[in-house]
Amino acid sequence: MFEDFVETAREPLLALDSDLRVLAASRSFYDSFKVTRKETIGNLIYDLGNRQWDIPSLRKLLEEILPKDNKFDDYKVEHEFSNIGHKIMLLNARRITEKDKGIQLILLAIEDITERKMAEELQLVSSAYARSLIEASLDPLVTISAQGKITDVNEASVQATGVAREHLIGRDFSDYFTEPDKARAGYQKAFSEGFVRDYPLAIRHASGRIIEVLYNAAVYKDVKGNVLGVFAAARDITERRKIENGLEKTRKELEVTKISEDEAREYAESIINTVREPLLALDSDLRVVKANRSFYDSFKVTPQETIGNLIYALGNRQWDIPKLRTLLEEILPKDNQFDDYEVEHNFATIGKRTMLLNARQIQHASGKERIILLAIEDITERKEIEAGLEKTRKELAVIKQSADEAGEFAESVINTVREPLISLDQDLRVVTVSRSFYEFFKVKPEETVGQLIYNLGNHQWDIPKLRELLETILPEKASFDNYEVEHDFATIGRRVMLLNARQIQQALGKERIILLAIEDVTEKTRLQRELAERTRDAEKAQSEAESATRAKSDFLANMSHELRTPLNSIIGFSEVLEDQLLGALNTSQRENLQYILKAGRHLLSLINDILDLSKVESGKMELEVEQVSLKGMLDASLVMHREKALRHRISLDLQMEPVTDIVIEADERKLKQIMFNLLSNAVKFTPDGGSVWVKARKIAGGQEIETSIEDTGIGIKPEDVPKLFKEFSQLDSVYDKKYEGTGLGLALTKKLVELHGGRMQVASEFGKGSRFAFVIPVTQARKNNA
Amino acid sequence: MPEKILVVEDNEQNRILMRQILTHHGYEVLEAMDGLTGLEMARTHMPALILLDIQMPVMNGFAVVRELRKNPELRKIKAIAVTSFAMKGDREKALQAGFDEYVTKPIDTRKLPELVKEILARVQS
Repeated sequence: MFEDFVETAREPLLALDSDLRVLAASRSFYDSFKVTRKETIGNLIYDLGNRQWDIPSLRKLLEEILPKDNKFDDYKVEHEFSNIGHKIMLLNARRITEKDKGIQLILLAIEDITERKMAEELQLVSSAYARSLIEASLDPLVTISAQGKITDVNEASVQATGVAREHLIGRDFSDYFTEPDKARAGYQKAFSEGFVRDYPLAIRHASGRIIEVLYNAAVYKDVKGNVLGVFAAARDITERRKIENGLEKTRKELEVTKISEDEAREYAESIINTVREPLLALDSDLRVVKANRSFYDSFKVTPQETIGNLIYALGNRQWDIPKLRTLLEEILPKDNQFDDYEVEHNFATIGKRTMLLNARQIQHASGKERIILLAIEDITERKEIEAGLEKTRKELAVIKQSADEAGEFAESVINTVREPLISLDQDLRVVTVSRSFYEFFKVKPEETVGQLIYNLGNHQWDIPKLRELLETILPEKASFDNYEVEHDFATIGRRVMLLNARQIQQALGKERIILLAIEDVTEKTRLQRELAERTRDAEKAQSEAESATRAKSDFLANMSHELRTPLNSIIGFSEVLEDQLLGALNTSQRENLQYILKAGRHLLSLINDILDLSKVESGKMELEVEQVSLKGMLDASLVMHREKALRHRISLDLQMEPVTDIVIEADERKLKQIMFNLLSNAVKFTPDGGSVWVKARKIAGGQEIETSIEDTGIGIKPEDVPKLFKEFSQLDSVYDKKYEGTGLGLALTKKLVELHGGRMQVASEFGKGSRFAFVIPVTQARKNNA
Repeated sequence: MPEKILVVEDNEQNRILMRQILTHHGYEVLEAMDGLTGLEMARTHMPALILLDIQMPVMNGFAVVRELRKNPELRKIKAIAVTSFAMKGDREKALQAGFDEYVTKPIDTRKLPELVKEILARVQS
């Protein structure tokens, strides 16, 4: 039932169930929103047309407003549909319950007001446009209601009446004319006939002045055709009227004056000959009837070649000027006269001339013949002078402006710069001074401006180097920068200044001005000197430290060599005895020998570590980079500790990620040294039955290798971690005395890792275990010798 | 007839140590205190092997080995360089100069006899 109703509705209409699914839609809905029935019925409204209908304001409407109010009207929704573009819609909805079917349904009527809105907007725009046209019009414009009241005026109306806009609106239109009745009759005629044209009226200006106008008026209507009022435009004809009157008068005078032809001719001739400007009288065929002397003089033509000839033919057709033709053949027959018609022409005889032509077409008293009077004013010179004057005036203005600007600019620059600035005239007297100058040099404006610069502050400024700059250098070089002057001022003490000087020629006139910018570099100079001194000290200290380090390294290297030789004997003979090469030993002899051997080996590792450390520190330790099989290196390192680990039942495992081998660039011996130190620590500090893992993996996108050695050892207290890599910092005070070492192992290990461009990492939990890791790059930066 | 080994070493204790070890392993040990003496003893006694200290007064180990290798008679004598001041490239330098092997101090008393045995077994190249 309702489906039929919905489908036949003319405006887009939807029926939704309580779940907001479409039960029915009008054909116009499908048409308007370009969706098919198939993709509409049964679907959630938001899902229609590829979810184009998922509009936030629609959701609000259907889910918030409707459940509360059961209806809404004229709810404006704007949405950008992907298939049909931007739409403005008015939504009306009703929630109704169909009793017999027991279902609730929502009727949603959708009015597409996009076009209307656009039209409205367009109208707004166009009426604004019309308004601006009205305002721009020079003619007084007015709208009048059917009751004859002014409803609107433009600015020109305000000008014409001398009455303010707000006073005009609402008043009777007829009030402002010399003949109110005639005015009233005028707009009534417009109302009754639809329009009036050239309706003459005279506006009485508030000042009493009368302005003659011609009114054009037309009714304007609303869209339904109802007449709303009259739109009237006035044209001020005061000037035209004046001219017409003048002409009329002239004509009358002429008529009166020229009683007879002869008399007239005589009269004309006398006028023509007395006026100083060139004058021609032409007949209606444009042949010269008469020319005055000044014409012959000005245009270098003779009477014989002039009189009776066509004007264009004069002086060898020099007068065949297109603009003159226009004038005589088009304008004059229409207007009877013209004034100040400017013609520029290049005459063969007298060159380029600019002329002002005035013409009068006069009907002869007899009636038939016309005569044309042509007055020619040669304004070439005047033009030139004017143009020249204009140019000069403009140039002057430009110069003046730029001079003013420059002056102002300079002044503002002077006052805004932070550094002291002073300008001097050519006699080296102070012209302008920046505020910072006064502040800095502790001088007062009254004792500065107009003074010779040397006299400033009680002759404190009489500085030989300044004299040299201003009197010797500057006259030769217009600018000079960073001229250093050191001077002891009585008021402000010794100052080092950098002077920048500019000599400027004033734009107008010959005076020159000297700008002097002063930078106080006393402090800077002092700091620079101090810095230089300190740098020297530091360099000295550094080179001293370096040579001390070198001396230390050399000493250590020599010492370790010297120590090694006797040590060689101690260990060697002990081993010979221990191996019983010279006969059997008893138990206590063997024990004592063990002590000697142990002490000897400890001493040897100390010496080795010291030597290595000193080599690293003195920069003598260099990497012998080669291709190293990581797995091979780690296996070899593990082998050296297997026996000891086995003895203490410590498991020793290697894990590699990836499991296959990695070849890296490194110094294999030093890597082994690193591994040896870390592994011996791990095994040493791990109680019997513990575990040690060696893990290696690629990190940083395969650019680095991280090798870690983890143990279940005694661990390190957090506060001790920072001490780990310090020389001779064995943590023996806290930890068991039984873990002895040189105290150099980790310091050296860290140095060797760093020598590879790598880093060490430590993590440890006291009592649980430690994890030492070193990260080195897979490749080494090659040195020159590689 | 035990093979003769000449120990050229300026440090007396080291000489004694070498002698004890090598004698224990059945070699006849001759000793010299400097390179020049060592060279002369090599000529007179024609040992199978010389243990040559590098840093020695009068004539260093390198000079001695070069002399040995110049002489067609002496060149078959094997030579091991012994140094306490290992520098980068020393091993290559030593092998190039004519040494058969290169060991650093402190010498490993347990490995030295094995090394000596191995060198002596090497076929003349």
